[in-house]
Amino acid sequence: MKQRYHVLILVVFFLFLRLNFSAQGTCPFSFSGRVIDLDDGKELEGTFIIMQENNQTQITNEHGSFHFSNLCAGNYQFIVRHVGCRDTVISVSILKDTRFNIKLPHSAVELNQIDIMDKQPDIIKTQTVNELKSKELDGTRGQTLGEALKLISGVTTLNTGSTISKPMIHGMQGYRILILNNGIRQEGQQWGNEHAPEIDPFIAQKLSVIKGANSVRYGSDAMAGVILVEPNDLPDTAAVTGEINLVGMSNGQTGVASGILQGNFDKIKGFNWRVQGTYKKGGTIKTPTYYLKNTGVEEMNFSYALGYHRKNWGIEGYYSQFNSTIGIFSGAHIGNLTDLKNAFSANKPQDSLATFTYEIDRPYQNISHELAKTKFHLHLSPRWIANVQYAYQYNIRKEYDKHKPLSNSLAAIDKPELDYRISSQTVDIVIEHLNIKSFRGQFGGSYMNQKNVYLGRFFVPNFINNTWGVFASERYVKQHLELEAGIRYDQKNLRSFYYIGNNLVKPELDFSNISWNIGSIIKPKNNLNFFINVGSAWRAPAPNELYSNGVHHGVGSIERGDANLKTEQVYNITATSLYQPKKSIFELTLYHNEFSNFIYMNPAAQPELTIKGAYPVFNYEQANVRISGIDAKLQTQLFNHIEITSKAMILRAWNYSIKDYLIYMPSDRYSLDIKGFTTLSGKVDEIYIQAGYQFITKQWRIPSNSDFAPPPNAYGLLSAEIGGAFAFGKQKLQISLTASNLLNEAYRDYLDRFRYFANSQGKNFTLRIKVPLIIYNKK
Amino acid sequence: MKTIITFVALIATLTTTFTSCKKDKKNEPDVEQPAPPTNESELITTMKVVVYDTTTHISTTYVFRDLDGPGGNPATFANNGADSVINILSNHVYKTTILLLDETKNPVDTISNEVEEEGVDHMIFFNSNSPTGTPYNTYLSGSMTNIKYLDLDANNRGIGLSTLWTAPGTATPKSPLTIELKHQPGVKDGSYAPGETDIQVTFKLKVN
Repeated sequence: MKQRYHVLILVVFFLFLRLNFSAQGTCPFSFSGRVIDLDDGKELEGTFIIMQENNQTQITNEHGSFHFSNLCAGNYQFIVRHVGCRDTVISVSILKDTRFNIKLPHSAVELNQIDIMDKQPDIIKTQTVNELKSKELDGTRGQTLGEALKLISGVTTLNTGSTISKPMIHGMQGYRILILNNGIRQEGQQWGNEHAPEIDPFIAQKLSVIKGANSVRYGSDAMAGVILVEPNDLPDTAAVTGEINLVGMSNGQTGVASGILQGNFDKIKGFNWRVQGTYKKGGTIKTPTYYLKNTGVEEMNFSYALGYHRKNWGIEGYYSQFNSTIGIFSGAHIGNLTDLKNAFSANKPQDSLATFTYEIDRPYQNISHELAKTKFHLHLSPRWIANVQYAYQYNIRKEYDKHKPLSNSLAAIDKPELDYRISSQTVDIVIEHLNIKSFRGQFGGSYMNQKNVYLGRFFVPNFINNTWGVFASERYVKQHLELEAGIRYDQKNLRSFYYIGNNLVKPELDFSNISWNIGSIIKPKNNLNFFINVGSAWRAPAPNELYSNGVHHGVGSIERGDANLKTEQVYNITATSLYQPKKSIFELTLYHNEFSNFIYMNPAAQPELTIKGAYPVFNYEQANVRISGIDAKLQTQLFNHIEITSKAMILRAWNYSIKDYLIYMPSDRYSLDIKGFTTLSGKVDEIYIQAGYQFITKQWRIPSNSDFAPPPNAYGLLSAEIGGAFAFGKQKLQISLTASNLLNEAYRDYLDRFRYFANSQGKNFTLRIKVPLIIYNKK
Repeated sequence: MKTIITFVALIATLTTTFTSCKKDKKNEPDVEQPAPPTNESELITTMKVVVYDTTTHISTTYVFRDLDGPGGNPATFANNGADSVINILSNHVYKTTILLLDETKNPVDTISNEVEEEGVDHMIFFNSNSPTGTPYNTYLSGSMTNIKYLDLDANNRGIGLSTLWTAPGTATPKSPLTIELKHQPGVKDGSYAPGETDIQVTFKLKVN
C-alpha cells in the first residue's frame, strides 16, 4: 500500500512544479528563413524542411525561402533535405518569431547564438527504415522498449509475461538484432529469451527500425535489422527547457514519472547539456480473472549528456544508468518436466489466489546497466568529417531462484543463484565525405573488447571476446535514383574459460568473414519511392550456443551448446515501395532471408533424468532455413478529420534441414485503427478519439513434436484512446487516456513463455500526461 | 578562460563517470579463473534411501547420484544401476529414512537436515500422492504398500523424510516409486499440487 502513495506523491509533486515555470501557452510563433548553398551562396529552391515533431513539411520557393507558422513555444527538430546535399538535422528552440538562414551542404547552420552543430551521420539509406517519434512515441510512454517497437509493422516481441519483452524483427531476435542505444551497440546478456534490452525508453525521442541485413555500417551481426534508440540532439539555442512525462496504469497500478531538462549556456558559446531520469513502479499484473503472483517491477534510470561545439569540431560526453528489478511470475518457475505437465493440465496456475502487492519476492531478476560514451567529431574540410567514438558498458545481471538455499547460513546471505558481469569497450572511427560529384560515402573501423564472468551457478562460461572490423560504403545520388554499395570485413577472437568436471578448459576460437550490401532507391516521383536492398551478413556462434550446459532456470530446461558450431550466414533481400499521395501512405515491404547454418535450439527426443527429475533437453544445432514475409501499411485521411490506418504482417519460415516449419516464429497479424481528430480554438488545441482492433492468428506452422503444449488460439484485442493538447493558464499539457484489451479477453500468445502457465494481461487503462517546460529563456 | 573552465568541467565529469563503473568490479573474479564448480553455493547431488527392516534389523541403502547436478554428466544409480530396485519383504515393517546430500563438499553436507528445519515449506511425496489421515499416510497401489509419515513440521503436517513402510499383501513385481521433494513456501497444505519440485528420483519397488 505504501508504495502506492509514493507514486501519487510523485505525481502531485511534478504537477506542483509546473506552477513555478513561466511558459507560453498559445502558439503564435513562426520560424522562417532561407536555405543557401554554402559553397556558392546560391539560394536553394525545392529544399524539404521537415518538422520532426509532426512531419509538417515546407518546400523552399525559388528564393530558397521557407516559413512555418502557428508554432508553439518549445524545442523542434527539423530535417533539411536537398537533392545533392546531406540531410541535416537542426534543433531550434522557438521562443519568439525566429528567422535564420540554413547553409548547405556543409551541415552548418549559421545562427546568431551558435557556431556549428554536431550531427548524427546520415542514416537514410537504401534500406527500409520505419520510425516512431513525437505523437506515436508519446502514445507508448510507460511501456517497455519492446512493446513500444511493436507499433512498427514487421516488429513483434518475444515475451516473458507483460514486463519482459524482447523485440523481434521479421521473426529474428537476440543476437541477430543490433540495438544502438544513442549510437552505441547495446551489449548485455542478449542470449536469454527472458533478458530484455536494458534501455530506458524515455531516453528516446525517436525509435527507428532498419529492416533487413544491415551489417556494413553497424557490425556483421546485424542480420535481421537494427534498432536505433535516439535522443534529440543537444539544444543549440540559449534556453533551458524540459519535459515531464507522467504515466499511470490501472493494471499493476503502475506509475511512471520521467523528466528531462536541457539547456545551453549563453555565456559559454557552444556548451550544452541534458539531464534525464525515470522512475517506474508496478505491482501485481492481473489477467481477466486472476492475479499473476509476483509480477511487480521497479525501475530507476538516469542519464546525462554534455556537449561542446566549436566551428570545426565538437565533443560530447554521455552517461546513462539503467536499474531494474523484475518479479518473475512464481507460477511459471517450475522444477522439472512433471511440474510442467501439471501446469499445462491445470486451468489456472496454482498461485492464482494471489492478491495485489508491490512487493517483489523470489524468483526475480535484478539488472543494472551502465553506459559511458564520449564522441568527437572534426570537419577535416567542408566535405570531409571524421567521427571518433569510445564507449564503456558494464552490465550486471542477477537472477534469484524461487528457492532460497536450504542452508540457513547461505539463505541469510541471500545471494543470487545466477550472477553475470559483462563489460564491453567499443571504439568506432568513421570518416564520411559529403557530395563529391554525386558520390557520398563513409569508411571506418570498429573494435570491441568484451569480458564476461559468472559468480553463481555455471551456465554461460567466462569469456574474452575481441572483435574488430573495417568497412567502406559509397552512395551515388541523383534526383530520381540512388545507388549504394558497401563491404565490411570482421574478425573475432573468442577465448572461453569453464570447467568440464574439475578440469578448467580454455578453448580459443577465431572467426572472420566478409559482409556486403548493394541497394538502390528509385524515385520516379517525389511521392513514390522504391527501395531495394540485397545483402549478406554473418555471425559467429555465441558462447552460450557453444558451451552452455546446464539448467536454464528462467526457462526450466537443460540447454546444451555445441562446441563445433560454425559461422551462421544469411543472404537477405528487402524491397519496399512507398507511395505517399496527398494525406495517404501506402507502404509495402517484401523480404526474404536465406540462412545457412542457422543456430537454433532443437528439442531432444528424450528428456534427461537428473536428481531434480526429468528435464526437457534443448540442443543447439544448425540448419539451413528461410524466413520470408510481407509487411504492409495503408493510411489515409477522410474529410480532413478521420484517419484510417491498417497494417498487416505475414511471415513464413521453413527449416530445410528437418523439412518442417521453423520453431518460434510469429504468426500473421492484422490491425485496423480509426482516429477522429479536430482542432478547437481556445483552451483545447487539438483533440482526438481513436479505436483500434488487432487480430493475431493462431501459429499452426510449427514443427511436429517440438513443444510442450500446442500453440494457443487466435485472439483479437480491442483498444480505444482519447486525448488532446490543452492549455491550463500559461501551461500547456498533452493528456491521453488509453484502454487496452478493452473487452478483457482471456488469451495467450504463442511467443509469450508464460503461455504455458497463465493467461496474458487483462484490461488496462493508461493515463498519460506530458508537460513541456520552459524554465529559462534568454529573452 | 571560460573555454578552459568548460573543458575542465567536461573532463572532470567524464572521469568520475568512468571511475564509478569500476567500483562495482571489486569482487569480480578473474575472467581466466572462473569459480570452480564445487564452489557453487548449494547443490544436492545425492539421494540415499535407507530402508531398515524392524524385524531383521538389517539396514539397506539405495543411492542415486548426480555429482555435477542437472546437466553435465548423466545421473546414475549406485552399484552399476542395481540400486534402482528397492527390495522389501511383505508383512515386514520398514523404517525408511531419506537423506539428501551434497557430496561435492568436504565433509559431505547433509541437506536433508535443513529440509527438516524448514519443514513448513517442504514435503516429500511418493508417486505424486497427496497423503490423507492423521498421521499422514498413503497407499501405493502398484506395490500395494502403505507409507506412514513419521516426522511432523511446526504446523503438524508431515514432512516425509522419515516414514514407515508396510506391504501387507503378497509379493508384487517391480513397480515405479517416485520420491519427490517439493518446495511449497506458504502454500503447503499436505496436498501434492502446490509448489515446485526440488528433487525427484524414480526407483522401482519390489515386494518379495
